[in-house]
Amino acid sequence: MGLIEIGGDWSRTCQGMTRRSLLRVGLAAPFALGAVEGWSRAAESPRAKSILLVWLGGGPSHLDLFDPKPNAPAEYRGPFSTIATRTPGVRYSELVPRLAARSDQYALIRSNVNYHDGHREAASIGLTGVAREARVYPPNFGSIVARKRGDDRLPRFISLAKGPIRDGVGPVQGYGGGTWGRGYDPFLIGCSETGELAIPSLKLAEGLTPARLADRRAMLEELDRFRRSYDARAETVWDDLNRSAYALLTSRAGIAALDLAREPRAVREAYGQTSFGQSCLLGRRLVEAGVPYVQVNWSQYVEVYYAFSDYGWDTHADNFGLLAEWHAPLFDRVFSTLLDDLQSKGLLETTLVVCMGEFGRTPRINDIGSRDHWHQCYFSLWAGAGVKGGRVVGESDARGEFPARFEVTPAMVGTTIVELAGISSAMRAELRVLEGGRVIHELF
Amino acid sequence: MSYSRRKRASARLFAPLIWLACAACARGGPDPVRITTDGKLKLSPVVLADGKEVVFAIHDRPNAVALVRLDLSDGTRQPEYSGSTAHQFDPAYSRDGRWAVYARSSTAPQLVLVIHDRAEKKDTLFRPRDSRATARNPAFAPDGSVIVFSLSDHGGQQIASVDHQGNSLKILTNSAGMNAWPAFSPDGRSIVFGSSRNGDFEIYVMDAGGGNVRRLTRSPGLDIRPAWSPDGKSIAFTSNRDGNYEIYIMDADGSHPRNLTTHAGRDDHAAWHPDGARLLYVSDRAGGSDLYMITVR
Repeated sequence: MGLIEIGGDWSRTCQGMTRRSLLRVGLAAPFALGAVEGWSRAAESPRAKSILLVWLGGGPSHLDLFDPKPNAPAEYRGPFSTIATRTPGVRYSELVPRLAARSDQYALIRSNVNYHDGHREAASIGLTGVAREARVYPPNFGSIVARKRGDDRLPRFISLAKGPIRDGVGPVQGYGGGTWGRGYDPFLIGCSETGELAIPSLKLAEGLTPARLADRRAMLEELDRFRRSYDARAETVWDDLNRSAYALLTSRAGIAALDLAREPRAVREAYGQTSFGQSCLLGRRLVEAGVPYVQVNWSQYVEVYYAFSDYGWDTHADNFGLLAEWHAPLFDRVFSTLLDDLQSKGLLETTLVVCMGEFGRTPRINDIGSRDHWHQCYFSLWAGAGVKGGRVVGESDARGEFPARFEVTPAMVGTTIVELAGISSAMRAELRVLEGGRVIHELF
Repeated sequence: MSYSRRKRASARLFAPLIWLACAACARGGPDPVRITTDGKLKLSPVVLADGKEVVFAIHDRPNAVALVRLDLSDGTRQPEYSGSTAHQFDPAYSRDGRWAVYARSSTAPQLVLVIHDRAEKKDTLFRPRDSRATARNPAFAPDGSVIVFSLSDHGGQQIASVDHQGNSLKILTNSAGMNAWPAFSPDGRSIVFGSSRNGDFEIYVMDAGGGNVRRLTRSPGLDIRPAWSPDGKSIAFTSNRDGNYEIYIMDADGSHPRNLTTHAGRDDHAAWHPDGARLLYVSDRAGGSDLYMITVR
């Protein structure tokens, strides 16, 4: 089994864990879906047993990837050639040849829109379906799915990142439970380029290794003893942890899902030795294990190379060099491998795969030869769960600036995702989420 | 264990492999030869003038791309510039070894050039005007007097040059599209570079002071990252004209292009060995990103 790092903050006295440290756990480990009231059993016959959202934070350039404009003026079109895809009449940028050769496996939307040009606001809008920026956002699509789907064996909403997705200023508010509270935030797992895992939200047990997990019964008994001795608020927090997060780490299914070393070497190599590649492989394994909603993040930060950042898609400078050198080859390889892998395992029929960022980039090249934020038209990729491969939904105008046909809003994206996950319009009305949204029937 | 002891221990394990690899390349043996096996993401390698060491950018720490120096004789590595948490890219060295230059992250998203005097152990910065601008792909003139690089600043992305103090900025191109990856010819009279001035990325050459631009490639895909051979007769570059990234080589006038790597994986970032008979490059053909050496026949 690969290495799992589980935080490092178990303050322990001779008498056991301190109250203070338990409260810190409560603050640091908000994932709690299993124990939150209002939970229902799995929705009936969802078309998608699982949702796998691949999030390209920072804003990938639509013109330089899936919506090239070779006939636009030079100050718009960029330096890349176009190539044919497997879909007759549809051309992509030359930077994504593998995905071009697999265009029959997924649908492409070229007319997504958002309502804000800031990363945190647009990501919050894009992940919750709300129509404007807000101080507190409604729940993430993953939180909605998790409230109605899954069981207590495994966390129901997992986000693969070292921490909440963010920009250099702060976290994306819409990354989790929002108005429903932190109890509906995703369970975070960081995955390194070698498949080593870090679980930042469980800053609980320093030295809690897979070997120690073997003695989990004793550990849980001890922790349960502490649970009983604390106040109601702490107890709720502890119940959440005990029922949900620890399920992942103490169940055979959970341990197995996390163990990338169980994959054939050829499969791990096909995904490539990058954090994004191994995260996509982990995402597939979590879907396979039955987690209803998994968000794989390209990076934690949207920025490319600030001193702290991890190569997000926010290519304000050197967009074309970066895409050709780093982002596009990596994405083309990994996402193609993910689709092939899901297909070969028969998981695409029951898994909805959605890939998108919070917006695209300015069609007009800026004065330093790059592209800035552009929320008024961008792309998303959809596969599995009945989505018709090879289909292009929507169309942008001649310069890629605005939808020319069929504007797709974040509410439509969210409604489609949760509907396929079995959250019916009646359920949405009951939960008071995504009201007024409509399914993108054109994908099917 | 001290660094020197680690180095000796590593040398005992690694030297036979490196020796076999280099010997195989030198006699035209099985190609390509894998130089690294860690699989971590690598960029822009250079072989130093003595042919014994390689410097490259590697993504081997969370949130950091850093330059490391690899000793080909024993496989030991050490940070090229320790103590910095900034991202480091695109290493280059003057032929006499006195000067080094690389691109470094700064007040984001700006990338600056760090010009390092290895004799005086002193750094000088070249900082673009715009806070978002970037300076990348630096290369020294053969006499070490000038550094050329790609500058994304007001006026688009152009080829520029500065002196060792980061002064005397000259913009050598003035075209539409992007201009990047400049490299001097060994005689210092010409600069080869990539440009999208005519639509997609192609390889061009111009006089060392700019001007007299001639186009060398005409392919449907991108042709990027040219590298002039030590004898001046050939230019290696990356092309996707056959469907994916491959290392190509052509005569210095653009004739006789041929695919050296021919693999479904990505082959990129070619750098000449000083012996002129081998090329170092980055490939993900085995899953991870690693350095390979191939003989140029």
